[in-house]
Amino acid sequence: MISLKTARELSLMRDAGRIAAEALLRVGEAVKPGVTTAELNRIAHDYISHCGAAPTFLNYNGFPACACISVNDEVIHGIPSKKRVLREGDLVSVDLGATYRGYVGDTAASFAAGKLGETAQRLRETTRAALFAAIPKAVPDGRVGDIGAAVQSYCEARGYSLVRDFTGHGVGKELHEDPSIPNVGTAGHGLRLRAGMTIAIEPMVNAGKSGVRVLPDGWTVKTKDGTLSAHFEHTIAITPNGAVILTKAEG
Amino acid sequence: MAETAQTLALPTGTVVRSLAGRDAGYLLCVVGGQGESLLLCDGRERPLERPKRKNAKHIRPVEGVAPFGSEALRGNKALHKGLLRLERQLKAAQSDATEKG
Repeated sequence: MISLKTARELSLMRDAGRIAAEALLRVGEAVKPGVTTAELNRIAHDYISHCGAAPTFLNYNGFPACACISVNDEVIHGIPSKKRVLREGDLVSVDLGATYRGYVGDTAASFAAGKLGETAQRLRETTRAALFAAIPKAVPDGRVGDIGAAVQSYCEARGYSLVRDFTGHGVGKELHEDPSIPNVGTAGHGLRLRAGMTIAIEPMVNAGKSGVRVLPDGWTVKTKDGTLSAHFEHTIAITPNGAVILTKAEG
Repeated sequence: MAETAQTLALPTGTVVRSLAGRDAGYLLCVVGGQGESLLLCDGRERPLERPKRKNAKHIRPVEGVAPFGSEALRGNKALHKGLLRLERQLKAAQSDATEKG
């Protein structure tokens, strides 16, 4: 079911989004060699709680942490651990959510621990750019396929592949609402977008092939071929004036 | 947090008519499922808390009907009333077509 948000709901979602974005910013600043992924999770948890929000991912379908932290060939849903110490050149994808006054902000970004290699750096920049190529497609009377096509054409033209087994999604009172927002698609096809929809666009881009597998922990998703993967995400509101990024830090 | 790609044959809210089984001929509403295996409810015999699992080949989507939204799926009573209303409308449209024919 797709829910269309009122102006009041969008305002609440903007608050939730700002908290999530600021938490992500703080985690990003702490990403460096020698830090554990559990420490990054603690930073996210403390900031979200400090803002009076709840960490959306904690216990979501049994997920045991506040942030998903996925390193190098881990694509998404990595479980933070005290044993996982970041090393120089690691590509660290952090995904987190904040629930504030009943509404969810969901955002993600890939960060560099120290200095990234050229391959990782290029993958990271491409994934981020693909997200920003897709955001302007989230307009009333656009189609879900326009978003997927924008991500797909941007990444595939640069020799990368898109994860197809996981998608972006509607977001609002729930973390996962309809519609699904795949990162591949055909422009002009798919569900028609309407003002009031709020969606999470989240390209997951692999340096190698698109295949992924889920580890026995039931959460961590890795590339099948062991190549690097990057992930960026914003929660977007579709308004009569176009796409508005809700997961924006203040200032 | 990314969502697992949906492989549902028909989206949630789609109104279908059962073609096989003890509910054959009745209207039902898709409330979930996986791939070809759909979860269906009518708000009475099959309430939202106890949906019927049915293969997609044993149902047919009702053409020209908009999928039920969150209002219709907020409770069993609303869902059942919505399906009854739709059935009445479909029957009226059918009898109109027969008279004109």
